Amino acid sequence: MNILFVLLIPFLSALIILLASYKLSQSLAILSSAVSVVVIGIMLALFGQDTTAISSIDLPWIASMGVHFHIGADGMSLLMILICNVVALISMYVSLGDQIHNPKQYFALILFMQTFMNGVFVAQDLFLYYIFWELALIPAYFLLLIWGKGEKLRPATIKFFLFTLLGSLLMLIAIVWLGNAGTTSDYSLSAITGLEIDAETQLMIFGAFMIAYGIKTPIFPFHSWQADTYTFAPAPVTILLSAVMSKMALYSIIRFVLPVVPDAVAEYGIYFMYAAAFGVLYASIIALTQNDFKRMLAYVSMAHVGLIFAGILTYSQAGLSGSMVQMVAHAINSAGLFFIANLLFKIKNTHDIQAFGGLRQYMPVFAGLYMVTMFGSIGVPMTNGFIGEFMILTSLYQYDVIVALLAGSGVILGAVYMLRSYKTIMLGPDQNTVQTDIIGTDKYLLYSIAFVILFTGIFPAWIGQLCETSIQNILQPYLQK
Amino acid sequence: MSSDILHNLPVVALLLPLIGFLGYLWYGRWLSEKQAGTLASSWVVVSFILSVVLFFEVLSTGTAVQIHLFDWINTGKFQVPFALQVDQLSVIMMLLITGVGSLIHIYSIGYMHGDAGFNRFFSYLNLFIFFMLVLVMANNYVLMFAGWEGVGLCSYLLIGFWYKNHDYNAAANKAFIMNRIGDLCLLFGLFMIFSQFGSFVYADINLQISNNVAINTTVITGITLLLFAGATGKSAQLPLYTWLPDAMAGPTPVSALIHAATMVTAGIYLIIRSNILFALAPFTNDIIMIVGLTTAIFAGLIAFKQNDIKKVLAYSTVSQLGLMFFALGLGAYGAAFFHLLTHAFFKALLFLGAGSVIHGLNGEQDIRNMGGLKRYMKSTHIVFLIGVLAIIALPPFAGFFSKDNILTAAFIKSPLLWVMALISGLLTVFYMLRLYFVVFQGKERMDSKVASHIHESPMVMLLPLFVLAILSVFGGLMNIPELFHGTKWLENFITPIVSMSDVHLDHSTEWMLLGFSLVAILVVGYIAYHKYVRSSIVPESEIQTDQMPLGRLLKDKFYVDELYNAIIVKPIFSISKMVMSFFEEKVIHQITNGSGQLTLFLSGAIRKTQNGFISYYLFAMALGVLGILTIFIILS
Repeated sequence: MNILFVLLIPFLSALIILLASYKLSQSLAILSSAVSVVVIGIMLALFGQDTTAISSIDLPWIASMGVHFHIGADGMSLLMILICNVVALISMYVSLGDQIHNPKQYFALILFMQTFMNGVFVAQDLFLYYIFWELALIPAYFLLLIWGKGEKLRPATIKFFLFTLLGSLLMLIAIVWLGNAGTTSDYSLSAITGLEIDAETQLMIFGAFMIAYGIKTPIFPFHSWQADTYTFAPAPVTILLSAVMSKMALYSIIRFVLPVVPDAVAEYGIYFMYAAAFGVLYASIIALTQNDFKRMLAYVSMAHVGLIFAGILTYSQAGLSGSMVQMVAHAINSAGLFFIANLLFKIKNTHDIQAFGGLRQYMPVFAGLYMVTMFGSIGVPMTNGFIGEFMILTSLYQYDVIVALLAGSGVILGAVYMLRSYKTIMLGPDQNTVQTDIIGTDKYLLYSIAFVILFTGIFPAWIGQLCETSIQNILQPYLQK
Repeated sequence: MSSDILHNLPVVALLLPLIGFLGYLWYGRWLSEKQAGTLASSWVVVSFILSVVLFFEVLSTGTAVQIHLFDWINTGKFQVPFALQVDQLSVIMMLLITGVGSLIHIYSIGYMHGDAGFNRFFSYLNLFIFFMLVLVMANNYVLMFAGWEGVGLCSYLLIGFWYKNHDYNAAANKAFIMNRIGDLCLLFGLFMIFSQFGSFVYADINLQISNNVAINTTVITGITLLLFAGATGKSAQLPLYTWLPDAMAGPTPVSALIHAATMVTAGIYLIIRSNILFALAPFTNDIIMIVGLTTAIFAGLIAFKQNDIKKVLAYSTVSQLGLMFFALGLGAYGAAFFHLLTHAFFKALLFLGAGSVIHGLNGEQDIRNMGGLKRYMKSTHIVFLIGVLAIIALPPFAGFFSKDNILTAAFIKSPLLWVMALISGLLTVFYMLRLYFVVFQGKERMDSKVASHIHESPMVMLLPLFVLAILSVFGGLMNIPELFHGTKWLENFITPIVSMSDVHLDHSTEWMLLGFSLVAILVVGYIAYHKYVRSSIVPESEIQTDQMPLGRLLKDKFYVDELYNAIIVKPIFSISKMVMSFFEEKVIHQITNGSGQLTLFLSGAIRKTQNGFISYYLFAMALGVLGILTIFIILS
């Protein structure tokens, strides 16, 4: 099966939606995302039997620059695509109950975003990768600006756009340098990982990449765009941003930084680890007293991705496998939590947790599923949040105790802010606000999320196995030294 | 027995309670109280029967049953099997968990009768049994930790079971969070174990140590200190004990099962399980001894002045757990384990007895509003008295043998420690007799309205009490010391897991110590009798003494909660607000607003592109992308 499908399906669907009647947009979008998920499921099954089953494409593209349209997928790419498309499907479902104005454009934009994010995960040519990376930002920008809500929406959106764009410019310079470092101009990943780069240049390239990724993930202190953006964006877009777009950066570090500039990672990675790990503590502390549920979740997300960021930079097998497991977990949990925020918003038209209370009495199913998602986020064993966190913290401990302690603070604080908000929203005396429990698609979607949380918590080993070869390849340059 | 069946037994025993929980999720709504209660109890009873079979299997073969279910995680060197191990230590724990668990399930059918959340309650209890079994049946630290956190989760659910009450919810959160503090330490202990041994599996670690692989003793001390720090959270020791008294917010059977008999002993289990590591860390053992003894005395003192029947028992549990840790610190693992078991019997009995009282008095928990209950609740009175006699270590009750074991071990180490341990025991004598006298003897102080409705509990509640009473009387038989011509069966049974030093006192010394402590118990007992029965002092009239600084200090629990609030909780929340309002909004945003100035400038330009015709714009983008792709492909 050709990997091109993961780009073609959402892209063509977006075009069809733009041409079709607006009444059909939502159904078409969901159909398209469902097809994507099925196709990736088939790809994973084929890949599981034969790792060469997914054929790649390598066409010469901009000949003068040596740029190829080269896409392909290994286990790690497939996993990321799986995350991306499952989350896209969730995000489409989350939009179901909302009255969306201009649904045509809205769903088309989400599908474009999905296409370009998939592109990031399959690009085997750095220049192509960069194009996808930047293209993914454009639909996000419009989705935010047009469908977002909030007083300071416009400045926040522009900040988000410019901040991430400017961060990437440095990366572009580094990519162009890398593409021309060899005897001939070649941007292919295999050529670039084979380069012998001197220590000083490695540092420059490392810095350029890492600032871009630090902003996109985001980690401390590059996070100032995040809280506003996540808060103001419509729930489905927040889900895409936190669950997938942040993973673009994390994936990119594994794919394009570790094997390309291994010496710089070994030498200077620790500074970014400190920043990311400090960010875990920092974001968790801020989350403690947030009363805006969505804003709190934004900081929770920052704490969780900070942990993964640090784990990746250990450049160790446990750290990388743990990061893969944790990326899957964070994608699902964060999608689930922002979905819950959206369900709550529909009840009281606010994200202020103090406005709620005693909901559990009327909404036992919602309360139960919220609780499972919450414990997934806290990282209780046998939910998906545990094994990845455990592996990452173990590898951080072996790397540097202080980093592990900073990142480990989330273990305690995570319980504090999650339980606090749950207690405020769900528990307590009856507030005489009779509510009906969640029903229909909301209910089944949240059930599915809870199921995945428990399933991947008990059986996470397949994630490590799927990515085993990819991780071995990534570790190769490091082990050679 | 064929090995195939044997292979499946532990799995079945483990999964039955989980099936009970999942079953509730599926059809719980449609079950009547009776069905739900019977069903939930049956899962655990069957699990108990299977545990008995396993026990005899382990007894006869003397080897552990190992079951590898699947790999939880396996990448490179990082291997965590999802594997069970039923050996001498875990099989006894299984008997305790499922045995006492069954009794408490049955008791709850009566106790929770009429509660709106009846079925939900039983599902949580089932889930708890499952996680507790995971904790003791795991063959490695990570899976053990899963059970460890899982029981904490159930504890959270059950403390906050009546979720409409703010205080109960706060108590539930407090329990979970304080446990998490311990758990973080425990996690770091596991990281150190992995760094040192490259494995989490008990057997691998033990093998490496017994093969004398070069081991850094500083590292071992670090590991053991962290494991112990984890244990102080779960087993409510100083400084992390304050959640346990608050945990009494949960229904009383929960206090009996989770916060007395099983979960809170997980810390003891952890250390016994890791005894090979602890044997190499004398420094840690001293710390454990000091913390245990201090907690035992500290909590015993607080129990003096508590007037809530459950709070007295809660502090008593903290104190008794302290005594167990004290024994662990002495290296007397057998004595600690023995006391763990007998304590489970009589403390479960006491809690369930207290539950019976609360049930009979329609929810009253303040002992000042009780008194003379022996006339109303004859059966409850007798079993409660047995529980009291067992906990104050009167011969020949179960507590006598287990405490005597600990005292002997203390004397071998140092007579001073013996005195301290004895003092903690005498504190127990006093506050337990105070509780008993004030509740069951003396004048009746109930409202006449309450008094007219006092009733003995139904048979379904009394039956478990009788069984526990029998165990509290005869439980000592499992480890009769040589002094009484016994063979210390229990200690011998767990020898394959726990190697113990074999130091003995000569018999005359032992008799002397015994006699001395017995006299002391009787004297203290008489003082309590004199004060609360003869002079019939009611705690209410102790107000004068409460004006004394010490009395107040005890009554207000040494102000530990207030202290933690002032130095930890409040500062963290203030810091949170400060970080947000100052650092996040002023510093970070100011820095990035360098780009903010740029933003203002550029936004003017960008705004022009938003003309509302987003459709056209989108098309342009899509076509643009397609166009660029095709042009480049053609050109190249």
